[in-house]
Amino acid sequence: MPIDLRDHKLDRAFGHLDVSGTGEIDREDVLGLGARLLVGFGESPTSLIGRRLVDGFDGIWTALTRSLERDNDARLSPEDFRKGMTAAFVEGSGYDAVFRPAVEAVAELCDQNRDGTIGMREFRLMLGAFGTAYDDVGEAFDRLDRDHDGILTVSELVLAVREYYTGDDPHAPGNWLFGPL
Amino acid sequence: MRSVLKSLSSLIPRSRVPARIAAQDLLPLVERVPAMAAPCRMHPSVYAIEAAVIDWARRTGLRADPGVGFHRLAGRAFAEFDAAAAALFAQWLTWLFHLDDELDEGPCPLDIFHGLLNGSAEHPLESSFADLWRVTSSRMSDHWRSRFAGHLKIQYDACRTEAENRLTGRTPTLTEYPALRRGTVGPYLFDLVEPCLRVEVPAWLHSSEPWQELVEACSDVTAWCNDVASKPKEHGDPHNLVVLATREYGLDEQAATAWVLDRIAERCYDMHVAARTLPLGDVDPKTARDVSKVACAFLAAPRAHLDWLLESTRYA
Repeated sequence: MPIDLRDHKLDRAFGHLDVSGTGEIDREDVLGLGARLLVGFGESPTSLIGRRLVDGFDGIWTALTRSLERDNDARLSPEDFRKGMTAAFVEGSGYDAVFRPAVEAVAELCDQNRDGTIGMREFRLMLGAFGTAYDDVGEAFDRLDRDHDGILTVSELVLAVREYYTGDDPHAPGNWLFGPL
Repeated sequence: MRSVLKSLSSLIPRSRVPARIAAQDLLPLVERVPAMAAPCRMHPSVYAIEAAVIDWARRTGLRADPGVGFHRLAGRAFAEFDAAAAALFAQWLTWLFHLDDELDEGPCPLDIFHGLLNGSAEHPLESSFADLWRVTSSRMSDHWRSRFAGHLKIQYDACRTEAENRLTGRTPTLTEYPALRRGTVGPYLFDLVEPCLRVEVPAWLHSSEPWQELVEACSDVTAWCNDVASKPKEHGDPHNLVVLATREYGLDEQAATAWVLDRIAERCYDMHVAARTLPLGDVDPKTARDVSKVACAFLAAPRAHLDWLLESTRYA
């Protein structure tokens, strides 16, 4: 059951990237998601945050393809994606070195006033880039807000992302990162 | 960057210290403007892009000067995309600056526009344009082609106004200068990002106020940075924002340059606001991603252009 849960979450993550619906993703799909996030916040790829985000997303792709022993210009199927993400970031040691910096860049992007918190508006902007339905954003926010103070801290978001992409606990709040599974 | 340049120059024998270039006056923007704080990534295949530009220029009869570095400008603007995208943009930049030189120095500069719009291929600029157009336009809709042609006409009109001003000794006002300068830059330059990325911005979104503001602000930033960098070469020609500021406000060159930098910083902020208000929620996810790639290219353009101004032999 735990493995099926993570695979289900990773399949959804694949869908966030495969917006063309071709059944395959490539490096441009990953960087395209990065571009969509940046533009949603009006952020340039050549700001300090923008550069960290682009570098981070490119780093994730490189680690993903390397774990599969594929080239950087490979096209990956959902199965490849599951295998690669698991090898690189769940079983492998790449999460803290590669995935987490990208997550922190996204969280920093959302923290518009640099106070360590993310409001509903910023959270909605972020999830909109991933294609989350408008009506699912509110519940996702509430589930991730662990102390129920109406505020999502940057660290709550970073923890939720880790739970989503690598966790197998069916009760983890991070499973709700992109709305109901 | 400034401290790096200063420390490096102190290590070079005085006789070999390069003359200071005007583009260095733009360095404060790196600290003032958040969107320009980080250097652009460079395309890993920048040497292949350079080779593609040289080959194309030779084939079409244009001069290719690697020191000018259009391959590096394109390599920064399209660092995340395939080399062919960057190469095509670099070829267009090569063509555009040859056009710029023809307009400045050619015997009958404005005649070239008639040739371009009529599909003539007698002059190297016309035949190279035809070559680029064949590759570029085949990817795009009739609507995009019409938009490009309209922007070429705008450049013609702006260049004609500039020529008339020079003939009569008329100085443009500070109010009319931004639109005139956007025209002489060549608005079609910004249309080229789409075919290079093999995407097309929907017509309704392209016409929207946020998109138009994003493009115009980007054009202003790149044009006014170019004005600062090229001022020593222009010998007091009033079609330069630094020169206009000295005349309008009675400023010395240093103060006028500072005034222009303030305007550039304002327009960079306008780009940020415009991008943030693009109606991406009103299009499907794939279109939103495609549009975002184009918008990101515009958002990165000021820093990509600055890095190029600092290293290009064109402004040395």
